[in-house]
Amino acid sequence: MNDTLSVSRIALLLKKYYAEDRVRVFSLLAVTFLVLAGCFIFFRLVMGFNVTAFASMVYVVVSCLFSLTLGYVSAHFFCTGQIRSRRIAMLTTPVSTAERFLAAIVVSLFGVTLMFGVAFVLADLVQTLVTGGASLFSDAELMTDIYNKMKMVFGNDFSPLRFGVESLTTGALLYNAYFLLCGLTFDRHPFLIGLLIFVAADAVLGRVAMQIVNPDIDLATLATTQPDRLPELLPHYLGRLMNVTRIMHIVATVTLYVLVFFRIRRSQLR
Amino acid sequence: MIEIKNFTYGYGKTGRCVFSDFDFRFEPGCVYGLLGENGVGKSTLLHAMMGLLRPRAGAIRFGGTDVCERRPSVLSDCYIVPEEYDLPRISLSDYVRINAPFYPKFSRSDFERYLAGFELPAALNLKSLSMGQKKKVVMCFALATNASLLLMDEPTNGLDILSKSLFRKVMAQGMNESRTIVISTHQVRDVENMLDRVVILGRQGILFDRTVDEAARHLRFGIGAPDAIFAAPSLQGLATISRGDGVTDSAVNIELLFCAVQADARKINDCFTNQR
Repeated sequence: MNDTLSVSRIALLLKKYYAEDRVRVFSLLAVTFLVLAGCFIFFRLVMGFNVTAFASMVYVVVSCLFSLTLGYVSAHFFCTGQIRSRRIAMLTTPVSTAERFLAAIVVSLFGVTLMFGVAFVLADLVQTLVTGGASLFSDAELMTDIYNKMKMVFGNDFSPLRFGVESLTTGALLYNAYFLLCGLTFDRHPFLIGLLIFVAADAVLGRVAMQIVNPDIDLATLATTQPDRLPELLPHYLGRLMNVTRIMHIVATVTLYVLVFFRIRRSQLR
Repeated sequence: MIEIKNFTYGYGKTGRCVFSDFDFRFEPGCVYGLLGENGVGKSTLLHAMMGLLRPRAGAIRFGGTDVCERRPSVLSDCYIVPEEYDLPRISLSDYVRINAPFYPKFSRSDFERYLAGFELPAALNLKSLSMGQKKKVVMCFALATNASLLLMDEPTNGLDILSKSLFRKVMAQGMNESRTIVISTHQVRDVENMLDRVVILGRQGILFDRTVDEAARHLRFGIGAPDAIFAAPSLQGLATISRGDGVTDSAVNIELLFCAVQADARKINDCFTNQR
C-alpha cells in the first residue's frame, strides 16, 4: 500500500467530506458566493467597470476568501478544535497527512473558483437587468475592450490563465500559508500577531528587494534632486522590482507551505 | 503485534506523567481486558495505540511501524471504538459505501452478519439512532473491517441488558487467531466471559497481567474461605480469594480480582510464583 500519496484515497476523503458534511460544504459555498457576488455587484453597479480597481479587488477578495476557506476546511480535515468523538473518527481515517492537506487545498480551490464564476455571471446578469445596459458576455466589442485594458495593466502577454496563476502564486497562497502557520503557532491572538509580523517583514523585505534591484538608486533622493529624470527611470526600476518581489513571493510561498505541512502534521497529535 | 516500549506520556508540556517508561506487548489471537481506576490512563493508552497522541519519550510500534507516523497502511489495520461516537446524519448504507473502501479487508457479508447478531436492520438512518444503537453500528463496522487490532473503550456503556448479551455473542463471532482485541472497561461483568487476559493498570504501571486461565488455576474464588488472602462483602456472604493449587480451575470473579489487586497487588501476584 502506498503510504504517502494516493489519488484514490484523496478522492475517497473528498467523497466522505461531501457525503458526511453536506451542510457544511454548502454553507461554505454559500458564504463564498455571497461575499463574491456582493463585491462584484457593488463593483459593477456602483463603481463602474474600472479594470485596475477590478484587478485589485480580485486580488484582495480572492486571497482572503481562499485563505479563509482553506483554513476552515483544513481545520475540519485535521480536527483542530473539534469535539473529541468526531476528532477520533476523522483522525483515525486511514489517509496520510499529505492527502488531508491536498484534499483541503482541492476543496478550497474548487469552491472559490466555482463561486467566483457563478458570482461573476450573476453580477453581469444583475447589471443587465438593473441598468438595461449591454452584458459583458453578450457584447463582444465591450469584451475586447476589457481584454485590451487588462493587457495595458498587466502587459502584452496577459491571459486569463496567467492572471489566475499569478494571483494565486503572488497573493492568495502566500497569505494563506502565512496565516495558517500563525494560526498553528500562536495560541493567543494568532492573526493580530501575524499581521504585526507581516507588516514588519514586508517593510524589511521591501527594502531588501529594492537593494537587490539597484542599490545605487535612492528614489526618495532622486525625486528631490533630479525630479526630471524620475519618469525616465521609474518604469525600468519598477519592472525590475516586480520581478524580484515575484521571485521572493514564490520562494516565501513554497517555504511557508512546507512549514505549514510539518506544523500541521505535528499539531494533529496531542 | 503491537509493542509499547519506554512509553512516556503526560497531558500538556509540563503536566503529570500518565505513563512513565511503560513497556507492554499485545499478542495476536487474544482478547485483553484493560482495567484500572479512573484516571490511570486506560483511554489514553488506547488513543496512543491508535497514533492519536505523541509520547514524550518511547514509541508504540504496530507490526514494526511507529503508530505516530500515522501511515494509512497501519490505520487501515487498526480500529478504535471510542466511548462516545458521533455518527454523520446519513443512511447506514451510505455510511458503509463511503467508509468501507478505506479498509481493504472490510467484508460486507460479515457486516450484515454482525448487524443481524445485534438484531439491527440493514436499512437504518444514523440520525435517528440512540447512543446505544450508534455504538452497536460502530461495533459492527469495526468488526467487519477485519482489522488486526481492535480497541474498544467502554463498549457496553449505553447498551441495554439484552444488547450486552448480544454484544458477547457478536464479539465471539468476530474473534480469530490473527486479531487482537483490547477492551477497556469498568463494567467487568459484561465482558468477563470473553476475556483471555486481564491487564490491570495502576498509577505506577501494570499491577496485574495474567491470562484468565492462569487466574482460574492459581487463585481460588469462593465464599467465606478460611484461608483467604482477600475478602470483600457480597450478597452471598464474604467473597474470598485464596491461593489455588495451580491445577484445579476456579470460576474467575474479575471484579473481586480487581478489588484484590487494588488492595494489595503483590500478594495476588505472589500466588502465581510461590505455589504451595
